[in-house]
Amino acid sequence: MDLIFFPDTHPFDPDKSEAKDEGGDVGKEIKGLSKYRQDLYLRVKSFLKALKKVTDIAPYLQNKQIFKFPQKYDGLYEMRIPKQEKGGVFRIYFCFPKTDLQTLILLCAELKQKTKPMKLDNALIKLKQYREDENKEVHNEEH
Amino acid sequence: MKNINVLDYMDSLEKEDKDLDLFVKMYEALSSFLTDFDFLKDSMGLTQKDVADKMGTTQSAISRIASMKTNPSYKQLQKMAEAVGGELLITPMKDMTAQVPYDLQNKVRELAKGENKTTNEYLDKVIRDSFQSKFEWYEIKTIEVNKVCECSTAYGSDLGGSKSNSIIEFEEIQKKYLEVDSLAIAR
Repeated sequence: MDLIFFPDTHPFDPDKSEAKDEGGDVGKEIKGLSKYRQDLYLRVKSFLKALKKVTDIAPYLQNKQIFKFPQKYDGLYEMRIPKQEKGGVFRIYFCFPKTDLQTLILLCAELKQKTKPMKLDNALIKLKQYREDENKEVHNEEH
Repeated sequence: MKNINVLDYMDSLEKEDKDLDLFVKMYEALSSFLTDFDFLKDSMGLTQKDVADKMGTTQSAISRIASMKTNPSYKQLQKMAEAVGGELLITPMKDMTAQVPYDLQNKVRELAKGENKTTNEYLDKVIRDSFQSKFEWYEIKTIEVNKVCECSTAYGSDLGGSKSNSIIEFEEIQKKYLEVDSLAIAR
């Protein structure tokens, strides 16, 4: 399984930003963890390493470490690392490309310390944007 | 759109930050244990409290270990593994150890049962058989290379002139082996 960032929408300027800015929102949040929550950073890394090895996320869905939103959310998923912990849970929202079930597109992430997810709306905006780009690519390939 | 892999990105963060790199190297094994522990715990539908009860300890003790606030003892790790239906393995041979991905584990258990073997016995056999067939292929090819070496025309036909076909063939095969070897070492 490939785990790919969905980059920020602003055009990349090599003079102003690092290449890492292409890590988008998830990259930014992970960088934040690496500075202020190294324990959680490492837990996230171990989780992603294990996730990378599978070709089917069914076991994660069964044990609810990954949650699939209802159909109206157009294929939006959420992973929680760890699933429940007082010290905070790192949520990553992601989706699969329509034609490739071996790639996870990481849309956005948040360190959840409160009950309410704060970035769900953001994730939905990015998902919509991703699907539009995806449809454009398919359209271009057809013509 | 350039695709950036999240794990490559994390590796690059560690390269830039020595403290982070040190922390990751120091606690990688514990974090990996906790990932597997959580997976088993959640698959069995257990809570930290359930695990703590099974271990005869408190939920907050488990929580402190899970959030890496305290270093667990060997006994605690062993009890944690048992509480979620697992077994503890500690080895200094990380580079020689592979883990069956979560999505294949039930299938592997079924296959082992079908062959009347424990999961470890079954995996040992699969690994040995797989490498054995690679070794056999390697040996067959090595004999072919040796034959090229023994051939009287390999070096004799055009000393001082251009390379014969046999020598070129030998060098190509040798080059391929070096590539295979370096790939195997890299893995």
